[in-house]
Amino acid sequence: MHPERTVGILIVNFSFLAAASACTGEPKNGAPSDPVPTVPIERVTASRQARVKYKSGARYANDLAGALDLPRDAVCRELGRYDCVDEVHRIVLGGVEPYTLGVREPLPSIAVTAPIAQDRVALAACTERIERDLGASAPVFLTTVDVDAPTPGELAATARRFYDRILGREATPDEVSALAQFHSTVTDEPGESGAIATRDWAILSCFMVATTLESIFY
Amino acid sequence: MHQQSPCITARSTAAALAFAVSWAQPAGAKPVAPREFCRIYPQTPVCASGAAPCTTCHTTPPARNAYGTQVESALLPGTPRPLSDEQYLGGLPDALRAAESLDADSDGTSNLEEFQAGTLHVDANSLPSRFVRCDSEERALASAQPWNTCAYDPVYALRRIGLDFCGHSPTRGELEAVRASNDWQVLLEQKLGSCLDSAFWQGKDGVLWNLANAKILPESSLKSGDGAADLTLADYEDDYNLFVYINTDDRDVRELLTAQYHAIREPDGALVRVDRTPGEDILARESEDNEDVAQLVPQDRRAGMLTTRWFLAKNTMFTPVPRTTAAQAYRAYLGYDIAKMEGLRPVAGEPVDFDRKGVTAEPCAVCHSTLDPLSYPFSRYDGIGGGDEEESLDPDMEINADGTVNGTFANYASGRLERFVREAGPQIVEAPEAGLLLGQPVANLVEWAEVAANSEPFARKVVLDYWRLLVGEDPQPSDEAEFATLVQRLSSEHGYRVERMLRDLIATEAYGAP
Repeated sequence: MHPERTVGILIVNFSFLAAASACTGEPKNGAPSDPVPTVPIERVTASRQARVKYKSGARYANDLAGALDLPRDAVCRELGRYDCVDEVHRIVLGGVEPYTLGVREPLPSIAVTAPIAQDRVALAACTERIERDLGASAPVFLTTVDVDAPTPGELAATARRFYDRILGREATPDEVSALAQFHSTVTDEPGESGAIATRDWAILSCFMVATTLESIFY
Repeated sequence: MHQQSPCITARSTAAALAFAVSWAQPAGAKPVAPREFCRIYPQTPVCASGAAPCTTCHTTPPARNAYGTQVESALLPGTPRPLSDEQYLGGLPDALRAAESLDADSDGTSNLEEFQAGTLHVDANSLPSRFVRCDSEERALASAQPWNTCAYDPVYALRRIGLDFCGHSPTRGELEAVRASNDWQVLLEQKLGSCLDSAFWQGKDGVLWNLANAKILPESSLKSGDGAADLTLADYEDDYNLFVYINTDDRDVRELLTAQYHAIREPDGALVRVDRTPGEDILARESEDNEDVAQLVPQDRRAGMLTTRWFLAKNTMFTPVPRTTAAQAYRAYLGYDIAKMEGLRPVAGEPVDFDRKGVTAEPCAVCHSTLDPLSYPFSRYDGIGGGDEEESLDPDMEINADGTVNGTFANYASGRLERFVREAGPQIVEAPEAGLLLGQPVANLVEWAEVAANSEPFARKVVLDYWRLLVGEDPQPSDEAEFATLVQRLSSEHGYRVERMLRDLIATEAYGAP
């Protein structure tokens, strides 16, 4: 199977699993359900202003380039030729084009196709980074991983690096655990094992962190 | 290309308006009403400019909105219509009070509460802020969170500064330094200072450049200079360069309207002030391969962004009374969009209709009694010629001894309106160069610009542009004190220096409280 197609299938599967995991308390086939796992509800003081801003394509691409240690023009190019942020998805990602299109200010609300464009940018950048890591003498993320058979500790350390570099903070234990456990979800897929599974896991882990609300808004 | 009569829209909807007027008789808008409203409610945000917008009571005058209908039904009931101005002013206070406790948009908040809060009384989605300060328990909880949602959070502010001004997030090291420092204000200001010099902020197509889009209204199909189109009128890059130049470093932002120089961008990206006569600019910049780029208005007739080659060509084109130009200047630099009935200050005896456009018709006069006196000072500046050009055009654009040129393209000509007699009628030459802006008489456009630049609406618009850009929305009622302070300090302590105002802005709770 083509590697990019595999990643695409895994994204769908991950979404499905994530959605399914949100329903663990539902009865199945009328049978009594398993005890609902209780998650402690964290008390927080909500924002009084709620003035969260969309990062916009240019800022997002700059941040990804910095976090993934990629040249800015290597972050995402549609068909390998056209910059995703500056050209192809410019308006959708909050940019302007006043000269020919007359779009003088960013769209007043986020476009309905913005998540699709954002996903493409993140996935392209993460794929580029991990491919480079696998062939580099000084990788950014896969620094101490035995890609053929990574240990839980190596996966956890790599997960922490994603949070450190992409979000600029320590990952919480839950976040590390979720990413590390996701490796077994990947290896459960047909054709996913060894180095291929580790590669796809790394791309998708990077993608997951890079497409969190925390990464896209500020 | 053509310039529409400013009253074409009103004319084309005359039938609809006639119907509305006859259906709603008597429904005349009262030009005396906006000031009377603000005499009664002087402290409300809607009266910040001294007169309430017509949309307080009307949709499109004379048609009333829901609030206007409430006031009308309480206004001297039983008295035959139409009311004289004296009757109207006599009855208005009681009618306004009668409508105070009503709720025109049925959003659960009375009209008076909405006026006091600065929200829209005829929009159910516009509600007073329910902003509640944190109590002690919430403050304790918030201070332990990743973001302190109950106070100004310097780490959050640093992140915003990095993204807003530099175009990327600060490093983890920078964040940790601010988190650990008691002197974090200094670190934030240092970060801001370095970002204000970044290409992301002041480069071509950067943040400041794009802040000027709605003021300059560029069109690549008419561009000269780099990337010239087939049909070249002017190069708007001069406009962008001047805007960025004046908004950076220690420059007085009033020069957006008063500069008698322009700015060019060097190959390394640096902006350089240029003081040249039109003749000098032609000789310095124009060639067979680079035409239509020089600034042609004599230096002593320049008014910053209002008299650039692009602004005049794009907005005035070939109209004798350049209402579109004046309206764009009023909108872009004073924040009043006449098309939205904003900033109306009717002038007695206006409009006169010097160009036979029908502006004295009642539905037109509502706006043109303000717009036309705003426009007269622009009437001596050519856009792209027009009128009987062949009688006065110097095809060779000969340079005079004083450095001026004689052409009818983006130039000043005191006798300009004489060319339009055949097109607009003999009375066109009676249109004065003098006008009125914000209630103040002005002799010409240079004075117009001086009055505008020193006005409160100008300072407010400068701050509002940056507030929207950086905070992400219009100031809310709970922000009014911080916003007003920014406006006040820009024009006093800061001497109209934008970068000093920005140092204040990043220190507001609106910016730095998550």
